[in-house]
Amino acid sequence: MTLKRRYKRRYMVVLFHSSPEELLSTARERMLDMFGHVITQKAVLKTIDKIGPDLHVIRCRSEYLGEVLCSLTLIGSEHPAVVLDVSGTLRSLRTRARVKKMSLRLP
Amino acid sequence: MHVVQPVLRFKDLLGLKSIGIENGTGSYDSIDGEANVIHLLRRKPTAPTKFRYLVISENYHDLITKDADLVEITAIDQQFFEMLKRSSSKKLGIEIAVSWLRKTNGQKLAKNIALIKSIHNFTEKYGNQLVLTSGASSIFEMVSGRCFDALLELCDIKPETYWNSLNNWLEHKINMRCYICDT
Repeated sequence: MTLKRRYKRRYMVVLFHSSPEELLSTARERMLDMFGHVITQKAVLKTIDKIGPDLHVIRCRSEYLGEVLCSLTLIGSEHPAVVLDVSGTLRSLRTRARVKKMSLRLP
Repeated sequence: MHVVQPVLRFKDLLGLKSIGIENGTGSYDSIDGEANVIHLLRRKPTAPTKFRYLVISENYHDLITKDADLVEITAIDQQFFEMLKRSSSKKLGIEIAVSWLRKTNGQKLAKNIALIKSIHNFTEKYGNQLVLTSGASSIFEMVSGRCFDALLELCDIKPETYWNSLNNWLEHKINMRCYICDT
């Protein structure tokens, strides 16, 4: 029997018309507002990658995926965020994101 | 149709089966029937149409009028629940837009989430239907299926139950109308 050392992660592709830093700060702000400091801290939100100018890849703890998705959906800033895809592995997410980027015809 | 195409492309990316597109008060003759698109009209067309549609209203006092299928809710008082009780036989859709929730701060949002839960319970009891929509004015405000599920779970509503009842309600409402079939 092996020991589970690391928590499970979920990766998301988010369409957001601004910098990844702004995406993360607005998402954290909304999450803080909705679920409090403890859940926000436990969710471990982090930006991973940027696919083109508007597609961002962010990561969170799988247990708090629901809370993160709610926060991203309800971001109240001038730039709304659209969650295009969620995956357990970065590789499959990147493959799917490339297809989505092509069908969105983003530069 | 050029305006609809990017929306349809985006719909597939978001994992949505069908979407509602709001139409202005202009002529309905130019609208083509498109699969998986439901047109949301402010007034009921006088003749049969090529496209599937629902009649929407912003004013919940329209709950007692005949034409409205879907009523958008942005402010609620006790009168609203009384109206819902009275209109139980019409199987009305009570629309709550995510764009409206986005505009509220944390405290109001918490209240609205509790309100959505109570509206859902109320609509279930009196035969109406809660309809959670994105309220998007552009493709960048649309909400994916996965996010809708997360919001429903936040409101203590089981996503499977909600989507099944919404599907049944839509079929019931759309099949009640007269359409022109291309044969």
